[in-house]
Amino acid sequence: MALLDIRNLTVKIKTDEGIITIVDRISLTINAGKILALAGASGSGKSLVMQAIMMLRKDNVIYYADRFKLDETDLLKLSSHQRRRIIGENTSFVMQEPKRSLDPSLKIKAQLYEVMPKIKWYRFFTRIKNFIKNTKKQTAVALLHRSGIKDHRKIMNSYPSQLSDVECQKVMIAMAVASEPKILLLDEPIVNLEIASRFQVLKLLDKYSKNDHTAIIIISNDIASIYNFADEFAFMYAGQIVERGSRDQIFKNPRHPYTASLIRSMMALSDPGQNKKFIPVLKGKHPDYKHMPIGCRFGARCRYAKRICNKMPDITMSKNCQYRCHFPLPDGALNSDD
Amino acid sequence: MISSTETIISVSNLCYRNPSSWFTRMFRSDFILKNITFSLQDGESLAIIGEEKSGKSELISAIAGLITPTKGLILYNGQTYENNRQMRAQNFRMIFQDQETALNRKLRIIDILQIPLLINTSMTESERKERIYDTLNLVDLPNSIAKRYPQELSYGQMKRISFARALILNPKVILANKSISSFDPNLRAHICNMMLRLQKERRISTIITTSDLEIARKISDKLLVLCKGEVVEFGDTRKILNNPQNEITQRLLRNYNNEYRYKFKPEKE
Ligand code: SF4
Repeated sequence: MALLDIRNLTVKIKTDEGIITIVDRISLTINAGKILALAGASGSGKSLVMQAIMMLRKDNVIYYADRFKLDETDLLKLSSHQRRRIIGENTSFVMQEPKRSLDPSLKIKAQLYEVMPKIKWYRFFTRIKNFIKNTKKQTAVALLHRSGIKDHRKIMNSYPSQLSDVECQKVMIAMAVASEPKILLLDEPIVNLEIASRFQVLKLLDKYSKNDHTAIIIISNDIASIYNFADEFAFMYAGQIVERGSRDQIFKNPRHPYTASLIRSMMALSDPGQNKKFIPVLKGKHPDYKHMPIGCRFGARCRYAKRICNKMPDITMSKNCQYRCHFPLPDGALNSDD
Repeated sequence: MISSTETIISVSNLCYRNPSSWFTRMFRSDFILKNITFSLQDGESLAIIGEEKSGKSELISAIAGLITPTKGLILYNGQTYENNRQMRAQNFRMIFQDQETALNRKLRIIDILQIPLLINTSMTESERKERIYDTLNLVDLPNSIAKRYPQELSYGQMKRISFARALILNPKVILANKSISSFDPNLRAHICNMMLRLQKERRISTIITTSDLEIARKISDKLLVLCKGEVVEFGDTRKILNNPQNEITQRLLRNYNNEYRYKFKPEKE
């Protein structure tokens, strides 16, 4: 049974020029202890998917879904208040740019205390015991230790501006796992980090997913860095998931031309033999949300487009992947350069 | 080597310390950059890599002239450019990390590209327009984009506008601070291609700081490894990456090729 089960999630945004559909009928499922990576061009609506799962945006945004289940609870049947409570208890979100998401005017200590689960007001004895033992501080220190920060005294007493990017990111992760979430959502956690720090952050997340069976959804454009980290990949283009499947399947035999182009670029970039050579790239640009093409959204840039591509392709399910294309690429298309 | 005619940039004994009050300096005198010496030949490109807080950004800003070094000299074609603002502005152009905040949202693209020309040259309007369209052509953008505002463009286009702004004065050196890492592979490949083309067609030297070794390998001839403000290794990129001598470089490479990373396997036929 899937931990999170979303079917046909649609996100619309109200603007001055009318309502624009950004995320168009995407379906996601994730099991406990698994890692799903969302990749795709910037502006393809990846962050909006996460914000929709967390219900972060309220004004100007309309959400639709056919199914939205979190751990057997059907969230669509609940009122929005209850829904937010359940989501808040079970999921955590680490936003882009750790430095900006921490409160600059509070010490890390205060921010950590704030996210810790509160004890109900009527449990006097627990409260008194905790007060005497200073449990709050111990928990905070334990959290920091678990997220790979050794020098907890210095970190607890400093402001976000005094810390480096990795330290901020680790503090953010510590804050996110404080409530022991079942699902952890991360928006570009390793972008703009240095080489060693990326590895540290990924290792930390891997540990959480293995030990605590936390399901992780990670957004990253850098698919080379998270290649062995994620179990499943979903590629988004223009608000749709164009291909989704297990890592081995997708990177060996991608079906959708867009996925194939991304993987080709990735391979060409990391090929040590071809230095200072031009890399074949995809031409054209990402379509504008106000003027979406009628048929396949990748049509204008697709090499294999035919007349039938004027019709929006449906999702085709195969054994361990699903894709949205009329003419899926055959096996081994990655290595043939046509 | 420094005095050879082909040397385009030579940096000698560069030191930089955060400007702070005399009181703080009494207790701490930690230099961010210590005794950096290297030189670049004409047409060569450089990539600077290093760990966190190793002073990469400071080094590149010092070369661009955005910060004044505490000690040491930076020579361009054998002369300093510290007091020669005009020369610095024409030959050293910087591309900033965040493409959204780098462009002024209230100006049209054409105005953004015009400003360097208005300040540094005395061209007539038609000449300016011609130059702008030429430069837009160079970075693969249509001329129609000149009338639009930055927020109407996609990320890749914004980045290319930043490149165009850097290129508009025909500089000899382009400096880019961490400007490729946050893109998807397609866009990265595109920008790498663009940099390579500039290097090959216009003989522009590019100096980049990056944390992606694959990009460094792709678009640079020389590699400079920094650690805590000191140069630990400087030399040919391929040589260093294939056969790192220093412990710090080895550690960087090991961390980069970690277990999660995609490893390129050549096809066996
Ligand atoms: S449906 Fe047609 S246009 Fe769209 S990706 Fe597939 S082949 Fe290309």
